[in-house]
Amino acid sequence: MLNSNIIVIICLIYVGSLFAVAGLAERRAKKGKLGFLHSPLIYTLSISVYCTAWTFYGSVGSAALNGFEFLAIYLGPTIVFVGWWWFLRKLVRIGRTQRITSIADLISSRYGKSNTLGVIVTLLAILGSTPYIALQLQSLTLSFAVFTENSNSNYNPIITALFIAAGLALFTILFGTRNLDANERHHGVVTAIALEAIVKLVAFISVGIFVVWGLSDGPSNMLDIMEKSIPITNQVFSSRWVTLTFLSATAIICLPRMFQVIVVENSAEKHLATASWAFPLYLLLMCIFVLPIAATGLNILPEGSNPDLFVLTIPLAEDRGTLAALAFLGGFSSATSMVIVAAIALSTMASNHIVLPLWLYAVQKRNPESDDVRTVLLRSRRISIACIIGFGYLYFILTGGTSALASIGLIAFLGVAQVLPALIGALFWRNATRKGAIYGISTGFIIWAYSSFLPSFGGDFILSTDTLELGPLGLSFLRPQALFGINISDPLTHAVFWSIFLNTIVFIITSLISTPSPLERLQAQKFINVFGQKSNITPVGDGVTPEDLFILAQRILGRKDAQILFDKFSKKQGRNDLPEITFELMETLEQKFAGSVGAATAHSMITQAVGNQSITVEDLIAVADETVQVIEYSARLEEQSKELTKAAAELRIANNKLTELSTQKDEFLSHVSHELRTPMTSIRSFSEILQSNKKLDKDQLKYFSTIINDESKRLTRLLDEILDLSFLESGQVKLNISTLRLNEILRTALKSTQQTIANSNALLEFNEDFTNTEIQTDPDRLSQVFINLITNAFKYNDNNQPTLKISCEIKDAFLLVSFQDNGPGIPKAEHTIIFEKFTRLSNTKNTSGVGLGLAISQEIMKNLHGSILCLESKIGANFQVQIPLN
Amino acid sequence: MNDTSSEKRDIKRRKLRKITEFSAGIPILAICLLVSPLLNGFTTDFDQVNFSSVIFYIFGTWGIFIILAIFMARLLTNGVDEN
Repeated sequence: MLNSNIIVIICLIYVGSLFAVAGLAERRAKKGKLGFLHSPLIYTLSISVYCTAWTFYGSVGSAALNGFEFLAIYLGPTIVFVGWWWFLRKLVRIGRTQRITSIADLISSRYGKSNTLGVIVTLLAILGSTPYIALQLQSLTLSFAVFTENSNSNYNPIITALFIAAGLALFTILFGTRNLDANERHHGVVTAIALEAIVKLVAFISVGIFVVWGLSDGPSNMLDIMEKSIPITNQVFSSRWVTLTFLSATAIICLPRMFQVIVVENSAEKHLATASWAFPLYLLLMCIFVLPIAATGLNILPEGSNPDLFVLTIPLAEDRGTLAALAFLGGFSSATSMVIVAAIALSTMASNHIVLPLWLYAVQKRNPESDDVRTVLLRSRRISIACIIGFGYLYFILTGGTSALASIGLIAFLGVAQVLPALIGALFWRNATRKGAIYGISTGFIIWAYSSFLPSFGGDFILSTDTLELGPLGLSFLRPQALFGINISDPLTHAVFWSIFLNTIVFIITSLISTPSPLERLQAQKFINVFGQKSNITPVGDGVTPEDLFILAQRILGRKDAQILFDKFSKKQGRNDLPEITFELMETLEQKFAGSVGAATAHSMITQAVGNQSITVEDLIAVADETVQVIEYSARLEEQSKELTKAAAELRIANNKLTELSTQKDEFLSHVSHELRTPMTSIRSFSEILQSNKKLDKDQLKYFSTIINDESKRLTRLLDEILDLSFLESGQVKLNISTLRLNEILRTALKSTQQTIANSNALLEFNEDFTNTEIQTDPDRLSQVFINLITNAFKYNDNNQPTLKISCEIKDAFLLVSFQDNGPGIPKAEHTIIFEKFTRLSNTKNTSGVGLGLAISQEIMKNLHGSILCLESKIGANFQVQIPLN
Repeated sequence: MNDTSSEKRDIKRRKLRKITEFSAGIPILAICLLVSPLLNGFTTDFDQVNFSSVIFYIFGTWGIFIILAIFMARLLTNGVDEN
C-alpha cells in the first residue's frame, strides 16, 4: 500500500533524475554535442508545458462538472498551431532576428523599445501568473493529501508546499540562469521539461487505458457509461465554448511560459512545422481519456469526491498502487514543469524590465564604470525566480486553496490575453503606436482586474460582496460582473468580452490619433517586414570611443565574449587594436546586449554610450515604408524615362551625324567630280584638237601634248591625294616610326621645297632652338606636313617679299613647331574650316591647289598622336604643328 | 534555356503561393468547424444531444486537422527550402 513516505521517496528519485537529465543535457550542449537536444521532438514536447496540473487534474474535474467544455481549452491552441504559417512563424522569426527575450521584450521592442510598456506587460504577466503558480502548488499539495488521508502522519499542506516551492526554485535557479543570454537555449531545462511531458502523457494515458479496458468492457461500453454520467449542462457550442477557445488560443501565444518555449527556446524555424501537427496530436492524446476517467470517477467513487483528483483516486480506490504512483508523478511533472518555465520567463522579464533599469538609474548617479552588469543581472534573475515562486506560495497560503482549479486558470489566461491586441498590432499593423499599446493594455488590465480578478476572491479582497452585487456606491451599471447594465450570464464571457473589446477599441483609436516616434516606425518596419529583410539599421552617434564600447561590452557580455566579438571586428577591418565604430558593430552589440538585458535596456545602454538619441537619415529612409516603395517605383520610372530621353537624344545626334555625313559625301563627290572634270575637260579638248587638226606645226603639237601631260599628272596627283586621305582617315595607313632629331626632318622638307622658295624669291627665317630635340615619329609623313605648310606659305603669299619664319619650342610634353608667314592671313572664322577637304580660302586668288593639303596634314598629325592648329596672328598666317615627345 | 528555368521558377513560386494560401484555409476551416456558434444547428436542443456523435464529431475533426497539418508542414517546409 502506498503511503506518504513512499510517495516522498518516489518524488525525490524523480526530482533527482530530472536534475541528472538537465545536468547531462547542459554538459552535452556545452561540448557542442547537441544531437537530439536540437530536435523538433524535444521542441514539441517542451511546448506541452501548456498542459499543467490544471490539465492533468482540472480537465477531468471540468469534464465531470461541465461535460465537453474542457475541450475548448485544447482546441484553441490546435487552431493556432495548424495555422502556424501565418502567425507563429512570424512571431518566431521576429524573436530570432530581434533577439527577443520575453513577451514583454517583444511588445516593448516593437513599440519604440519603450520600457514603460515592458514594465506594464511584466507586471501583468506576474499578476496573471502568480495565481497560476499557486494553482500548481495547490494541486501538488492536494495530490499529496490523497496519500496521507488514511495515514496517521501529521500532514501540513503549507509545509509541503513550502518544500515543493523551495525545491522548484532551486532547480530553476540552477538550470535556468546558467546562461545570461536569455536567447541562448536552456538545454538542461528544456530537456527536463520534455522528459516531464512524456511522463505526464504516459501517466494520463495509462490511467485512461485502465479505466476503459480495466474497469469497463472497452470503448463501446465506456461510451454508454459516459452518456449516462457526464452532465451536459449547456449547449456544446455555446458562447462560453467560443470564449474558452479564444482564451486558450490567446494563452498559447501570450502566456509568458508559452512564449518562452515557443519563441525564445526555438532553435530552428522548421521545428515549428513539426510542432504544428505534433503538438495538436499531443493535446488530442491528453484529452482522449478525460471523459472516460471523469465518467468512471462519477460512477464508481462515492458522491462528494473531488472530481479534480479522479486521475489519482480511481487507481487508489481500485488498489492499483503503481498506477496511482505513476498518476501522481504525471501530476507532479505537469505542475513542476509549469512552475519552472514560468519562473524562468517571468524572472527574465522582471530583471530586464524592472530590476536592471532601476539599477542602471541608481548606478548612473554613482559611478557608471564600477560594476559588472553581468553579476547584477544574474543575481537579479535568481532573486526574481525566488520571488516569483515565493509570490505563488504566498498566494496559495492567502487563498487557502479553496477555488476550483479551473477558474483560477481561466482568470490567469484572461489576464495575459490583454496583451493580444497590442501583439497582433505589433506584427501586422504599421500604424500601431506605443501610446495605443499602453492605453489599450492598461484599459484591458483594469477591466480584467475589476470584472474578473478581484471578484474571484469572492468579496474578500478590495471589492466587497455588496460592491459585487450592487455595484460601487450602489451604481448598478458599474456592477463588476454586469458592466453597463448588460447582463451576460457567464461572468467569464462577460469579462472576456468587455476587457478585450475595450482594450482593442482604445488601442486602435489611440494609435490612430497619436503619432509614432521615428524609432517606433523603424521597429514597426522591421517587425512587419521581418520576412525579406536582412540587416537592421541601428542609430549610431558621434563622440563615442571604441574603448568606451569595449568596456560596456565587457560589463554585459563578459570579458571573454566581448574580446572575441571585438577581435572579430578588428580582424574584419584589418586592424590590430580595437575596431572602428561602424553601424555593423553597433548593430551587433545592441542585438547581443538585447539577448541579455532585453531590447529596451540594450537600446538605452547603446544610446547612452554614444550620447545620441537621434536616428540617422538611413533609418528615416527605411522608416518611410510604403512611401519608400512608391518613391523607389517612381524613381525607377523616372530613370527609365530619362534613359529613353537620352536614347532618343543619342538617336537624334546619330541621325544628324548621318545626314551630315551624307551631305559631306555628296559634297565630296561633287568636289571630286568637279576637280576631275577640269583636267579631263582640258585633256579631252586638246586631244580633240590633235585628232581633228592635222595641220598643226611641231611647236603647237608640243604645246598641246605638254598640256595634256600636265593635266594627266594633275589628275594622278589628285587621285593619289584622295586615296592617301581616305587611308589616313580610316586609320589603315602604315607608319614607319623611327627616332631622329627634328632638324633632320625639317631639313628634308626644306630641301624638297627649295625650288619653290627659290622661284618665289622668298625669305626663310629658321630659328634652330630646340630643333635638336629627338622625336619618335614617321619622318616621311611629318616632313610631308612640313612641306605642305612651307609650300602653302609661299603659294598663297602675294607679298612682294614672301617671308616664312620657322620656330620651335617645348611645352607640356609637346614639341611645337610654328610656321609664321607674312601673307594675307586667314580670317578667324576660317581657322577650323581650312582643315576641311576641298576648302579654299575665301580671300585667295590662287586656285591651283585642290584643297586637300591641310586635310591630309591634319589626318597625318592625328595618326602621329599630335595635332595641327591655325593660330591667331597679326600678320599673315600662323600654323602650329604639335608633336608629342613620347 | 533561360526561359524554361524562369518558367520553372515561376511555376514553383505559384505552387508555393497556392500552398500558403491553402494553409491559411486550415485554421479558418478549423474555426468554422470547431468554434462557430453556427454549429449549434447540430445541437440546438440539448435534450436531443447525441453524446457519441458530438464526441466523434469533435475528435474526428480534430484528427483530420492533425493529418492536414502533417501534409501542410511537409509541403510548406519543402516549398520554403526550394525558395
